[in-house]
Amino acid sequence: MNLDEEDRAHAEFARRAGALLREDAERLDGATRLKLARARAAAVEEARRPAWSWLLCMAPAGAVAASVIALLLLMREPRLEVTPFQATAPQDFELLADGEAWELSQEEDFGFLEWAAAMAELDSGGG
Amino acid sequence: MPVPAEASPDALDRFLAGVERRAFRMARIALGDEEDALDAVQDAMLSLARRYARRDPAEWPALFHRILQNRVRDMARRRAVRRRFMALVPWRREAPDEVLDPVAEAPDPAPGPDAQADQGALLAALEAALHELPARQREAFLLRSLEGLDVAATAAAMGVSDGSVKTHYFRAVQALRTRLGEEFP
Repeated sequence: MNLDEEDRAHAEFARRAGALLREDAERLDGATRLKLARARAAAVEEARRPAWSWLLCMAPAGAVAASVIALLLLMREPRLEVTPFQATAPQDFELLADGEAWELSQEEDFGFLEWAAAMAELDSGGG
Repeated sequence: MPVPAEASPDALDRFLAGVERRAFRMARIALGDEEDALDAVQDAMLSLARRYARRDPAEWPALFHRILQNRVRDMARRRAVRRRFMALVPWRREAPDEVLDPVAEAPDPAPGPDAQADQGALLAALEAALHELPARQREAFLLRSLEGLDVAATAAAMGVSDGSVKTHYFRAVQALRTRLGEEFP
C-alpha cells in the first residue's frame, strides 16, 4: 500500500468510525437525554442572569465574612490584664526592704522584748 | 454544526442542544462511566454559561470542548489516584462498577436485524479501543471525527498547536486501525 492509499484508508476509517459514534450519540436513551436537557436548562438559566447578579449572590457571603471579622476584632480587644508587677502593692516593697524586722522576729530574744515592754510601760506611766 | 451569530441565552440553548449528546459520548468513552460523564458535561455547560455566554458564539465550540476536556482529564486523574489509594487499602478492593467492561458498557443493540447487533459489537470494540488510547490521541480523534472540528478548532479546544493535533490524530487512527483491523475492515 503506497502513501496515498494509506492516507485514504486512514481517512475512510476515521469517517466510518466518526459516523458510527455520531449515530450512537443520537440514539441515547431517554433517561440520559432528560438529564442532559436538565443540565442544559440549568446552564441557560445561569446565562439569563444579569452580569451583576453575582454581587447579589456574594452579599450573604460578604455579611458572614464581615461578622467573622468583627467577632475576631472584638476578641482581640486589649483587656486590662493584671501583670505580676502591677499586683505588687507598695507595702510589699516596704516589707521586702525592711529585712531587719524579719530578722528580729526570727531571733526570739524574749529578754529584750520583755525589757522593751517594761520601758514602754514606764514611759507611759511616768510620762 | 452551525453556530448562532449573536450571543444570547436562546442561542446558547441551541448550541448546547446541538453538542450535548456527542459531548456526553466523548466523556463517557474517556471516563467509562455514565454518571461521571454526565457530571463532566453538566459542569462544562455551566462553566460555559457562567464565563463565556456573552462571548462570540463562534468561539463556543472550542471553549466548550476545552472546558469539557479539562474536566474529563481532572476526573480521570482523580479516579486514578483514588484507584491507586484503594489498591493499598487491604479491606476495600476496587468496586466492580469502577472497572470498565467494554462489552457491558456498550449500548444495548436494538433488537431486530443482525446488522444492528453487528453494529453494536463494532461500536463496543471501537469504544474499548478508544478508551485504551492515550488521552491526547483520544481527544484529537473524537474532536475531529465525532465532533467534526477542524484542525484549528481542535487545537484551540485541546490547548495545543495545529501540528500537535495532526500528530495525535494520525497516531490515534493508526492505533485504532491496528487494533480494530479485523473487526473494522
